[in-house]
Amino acid sequence: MKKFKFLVKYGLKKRVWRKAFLISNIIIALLMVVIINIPSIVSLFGGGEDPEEQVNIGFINETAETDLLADYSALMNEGGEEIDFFIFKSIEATEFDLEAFWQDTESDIIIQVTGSVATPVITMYTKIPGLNYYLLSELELQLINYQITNYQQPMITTVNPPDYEDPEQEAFISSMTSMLVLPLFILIVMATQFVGVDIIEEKSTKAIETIIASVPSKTHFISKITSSILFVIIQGGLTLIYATVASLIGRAFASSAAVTLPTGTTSLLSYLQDFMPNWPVVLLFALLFMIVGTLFYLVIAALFASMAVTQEDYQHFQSPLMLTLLAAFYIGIFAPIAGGYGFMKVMAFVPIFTPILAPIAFASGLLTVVEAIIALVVVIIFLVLALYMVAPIYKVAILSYDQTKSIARMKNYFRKAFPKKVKKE
Amino acid sequence: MLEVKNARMLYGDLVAVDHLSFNIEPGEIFGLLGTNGAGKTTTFRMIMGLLDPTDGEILYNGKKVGYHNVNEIGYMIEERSLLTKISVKDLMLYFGQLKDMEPKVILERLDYWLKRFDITDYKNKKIKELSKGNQQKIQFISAIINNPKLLVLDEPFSGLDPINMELFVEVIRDFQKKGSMVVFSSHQLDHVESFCEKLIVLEKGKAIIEGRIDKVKKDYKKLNIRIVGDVDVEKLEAIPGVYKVIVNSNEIIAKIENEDVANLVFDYIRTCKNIMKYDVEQATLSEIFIAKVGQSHEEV
Repeated sequence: MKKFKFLVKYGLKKRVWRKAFLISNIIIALLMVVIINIPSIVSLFGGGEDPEEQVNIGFINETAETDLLADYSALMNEGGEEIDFFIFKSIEATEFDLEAFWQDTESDIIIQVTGSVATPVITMYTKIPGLNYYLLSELELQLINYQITNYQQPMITTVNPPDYEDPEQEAFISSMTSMLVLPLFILIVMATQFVGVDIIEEKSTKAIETIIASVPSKTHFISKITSSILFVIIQGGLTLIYATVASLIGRAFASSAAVTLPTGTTSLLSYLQDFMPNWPVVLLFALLFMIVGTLFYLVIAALFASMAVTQEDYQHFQSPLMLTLLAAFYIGIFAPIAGGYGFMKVMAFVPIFTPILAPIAFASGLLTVVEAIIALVVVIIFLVLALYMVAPIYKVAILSYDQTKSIARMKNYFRKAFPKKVKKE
Repeated sequence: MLEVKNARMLYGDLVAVDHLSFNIEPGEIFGLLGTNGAGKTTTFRMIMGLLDPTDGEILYNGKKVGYHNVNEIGYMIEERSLLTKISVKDLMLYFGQLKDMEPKVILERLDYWLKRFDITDYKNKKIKELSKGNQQKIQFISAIINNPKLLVLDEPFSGLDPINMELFVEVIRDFQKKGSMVVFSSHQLDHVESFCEKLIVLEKGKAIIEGRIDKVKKDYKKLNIRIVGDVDVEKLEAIPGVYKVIVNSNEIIAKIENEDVANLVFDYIRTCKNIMKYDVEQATLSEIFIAKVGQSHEEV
């Protein structure tokens, strides 16, 4: 155990106590600040303000407060340009035809307020659901202005077009993909590279023989994987800290007078938070998938490294592993764009793709909690099987300098690791 | 005591080591000799517990060699096995701690050995920056840093100049004096002759020569007679029992089958003129080795 702890500590120190680690983390932190605060930054430079079209809102006021429309219109267009952005038009309840409204190209939104100012009932028919939150909160504010005391929370109903598909949901999946795929991919690639390079460095210099003479090959194998996964956890944790700091910077940035964001969006994180109220569960699953999935890849990478003799040899061995990771990466990026949600969902259950695809599928709602647990269990089963199979092969391969063709070498090691039992006559 | 009892190692159908047996007592230096592929490294790997013998057993102080007693053993492999990207100090800390040594003790001992090998300036240098000879020294230090009771050295002298070779021998003898067991392999047989008391010569996994060197030489009946003077080589070769005559620039060596032939040679030498010196000596280890290995090949 003492030697195992030493090897883990040594492996970790070797990675963390390096200039490269410090430099890469400074770059990651800066990138985090930039990526997470893209809306603020774009806004700072006057970007993101597409030529906006005016929004036509039909208003049906069935309350006793006759000034409601005028006051609401003034509030909505307060501090704006000379020309009002929100064009309000009063409509009689009897004139309103819902079917005609959906077909109509002139009106964008119909707001109907019934009941009293103190106990309002609001129904919003909208072709622009993205404006719902803003319009309703301002309307509530206006209603509160009329009756500060005894104000009742209005009953609100929003009605979208019958064939409505939420574009923000798709945008959300897309943004989830880029938010999760890249860090997962990079972390797994880093970890597999580290474990492979570590092992092959010791093997190619023949130092492995001196090491294995002092510690069992199994201890060496597990220690390499443990130090790599700990590195991934440390790097993942640091990335989360950078994300949090970046988000805080974004908030401070947005609250300053320098920037005024149009819809109250301060950062990508707050944007995601609006869409993903269950983010703690998502985060937990993402971490679990990351740890278990990376372990799975590490076991395979360690096996390949033990079979290789030189760095070049290892590059050759690990290429299928990298191609698999790359395939998972591209599926994660392009499946949502191409609308291949079903495909992504299925692939999320395939263990070699699970580490990257399952967290995205779960975060974007393609997988339920139960399905995510099933995917996780499947990876864990494969991980245990991989450990059971790999440890004996590693023991045989790590001290061998066989340079026959890859497949023949693998077969040879497998035969040596699992010799056939000879039946005694 | 190290006991190798009837050890046998098979790689598929290939017999790498065939029923090998020998003992090494504390304070003994034991040579394991043989041509390339004779089974020396496999034997060392079995001693170190890196390979399990197919048959037989290897005991160190009555117990099987394993990770429970490996901290008492020092092992130097044939090829350089150093992590080249790290410094000498870091390497020793790494290898030493794998032997359960405390960092403070490792550094103290490292300073001592670096001084002894006259390479103190290299403590913080990366291994790859060192010459091959100095890398060999570092590898040797890594094998002895834990003050081993059993020292296993696979070709420790390869690539060393005579001065450094003597330095290595001196250190090994120090360990011998302290009661450590030393087992080593080497191709430099003449050097082995003056260095160890017991040996085994392996050929294709089998011991073809074994025992104490003096006894091995004694058992090998053939002798050499060195002559300095004017002798007729043809007449010398014609003496029954003289199987070979080598003419060097300053001497003539007559190789004879046994002691009895020596008298016949001496009788002839006494008839020659200008004889300045002649004496009988035992065959060298190299000769015995070449003769036995040749014989082994012929038997196959």
